[in-house]
Amino acid sequence: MNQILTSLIEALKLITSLDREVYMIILLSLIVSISSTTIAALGAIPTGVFIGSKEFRGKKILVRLINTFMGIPPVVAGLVVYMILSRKGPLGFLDILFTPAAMIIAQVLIIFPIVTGLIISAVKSKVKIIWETGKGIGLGDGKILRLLFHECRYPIISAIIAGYGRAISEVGAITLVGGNIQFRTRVMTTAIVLETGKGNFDIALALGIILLSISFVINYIAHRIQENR
Amino acid sequence: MKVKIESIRKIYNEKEVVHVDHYQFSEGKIYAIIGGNGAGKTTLLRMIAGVEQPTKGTIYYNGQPHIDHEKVSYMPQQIYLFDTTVLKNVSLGIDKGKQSSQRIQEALEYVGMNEFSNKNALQLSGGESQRVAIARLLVRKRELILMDEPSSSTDITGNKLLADYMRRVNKLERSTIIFVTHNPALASKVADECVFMASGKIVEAGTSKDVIYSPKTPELKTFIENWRI
Repeated sequence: MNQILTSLIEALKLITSLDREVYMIILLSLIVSISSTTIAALGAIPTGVFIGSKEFRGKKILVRLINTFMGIPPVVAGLVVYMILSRKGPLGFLDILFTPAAMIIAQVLIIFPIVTGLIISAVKSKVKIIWETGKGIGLGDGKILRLLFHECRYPIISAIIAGYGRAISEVGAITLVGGNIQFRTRVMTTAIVLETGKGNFDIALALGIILLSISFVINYIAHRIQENR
Repeated sequence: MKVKIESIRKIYNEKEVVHVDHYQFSEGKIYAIIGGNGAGKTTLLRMIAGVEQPTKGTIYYNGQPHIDHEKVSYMPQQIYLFDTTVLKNVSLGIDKGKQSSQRIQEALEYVGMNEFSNKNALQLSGGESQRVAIARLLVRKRELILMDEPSSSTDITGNKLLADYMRRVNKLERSTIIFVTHNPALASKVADECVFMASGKIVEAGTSKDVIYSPKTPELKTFIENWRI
């Protein structure tokens, strides 16, 4: 108990001391998670709205596949990206393994199915009644699609936030493809694992507090958005 | 608009839910489709509205086998109002212009919702939502108006408003109005013609007074007797 308290005090000191490495780690964590969430959302929104609102052959299998990938173990995603980006892999020529770019790719692979799956569910629950109501008052398909998007905006925002939550807390995949290199690919989660292993609980705890604070702020914003609807 | 039904059948999971050999809805009249639960009323109306396709057979609109949604207004059983103001909900299906603003105001006044025009539609009660949906539907000048249980959530005043408004629109614009109802009182008050359905078939049809006050078939007699209780 005493050790936890001491670590907590040390952690607070570290946060307020403007330690360069700590702030580099925070900055890189935010860059990687925000970039991967943005890229995943840009692909997931049209994909989710399309799959959720249209009927086509193979839709059921596709949805099941997406649902399966929603629970993909991050290390598996990391392994796949590692193999693709490694020197002998199909995209090895890009030479981006052990860089933030590789970490972003791995996170996109993890969160894209999550955001897409959640958007599909949201759209699916409303598409029938919105389509019927829209057709009933003579609206065109484009206008109905815009209305559908408008009506699903809150669940879409929630889906993106859920994706971001997964990205910022992810550790397995980015350790594999990033390598946890100091000042280059070290982010909060990988640093926590490293510092805990080394017995530096104060640094690990400081990063844990920051990670929790960021999650709290994101959740607070999401809550406010939902409340203002 | 004249609507002619030719040998339509609707089959769900190998069960026939609607089977109508021939029926014609004449232009400029008000029709009520009555019947108990599972009689096929809603399915028939949905097929006429073009939001569901018959398994077999054809529906002709002024002799054409295809529906023109621009000429038809349809209100589904499940009311859906969009997450915006009452005014915007009502004006969704009508082209912008001075005349349309007048029509919107008139429709809102008629259903007693003019004071709520700037309120968010999601904050309304069930009865109020239904009134807004009716205003949204009736504000449009259309040749065919279809309503599924328009009085299911309205009170006595709401029913009177609905009846008066249907009569008015029918008289001024010569629209054909077909509505589904469980309420024979509303049918006898508003409709020129009444269609009684049981087990997916049209069992009896004729003027509202004849159908409701002088039933011939045992099914209709039982339905009317149960209603009187």
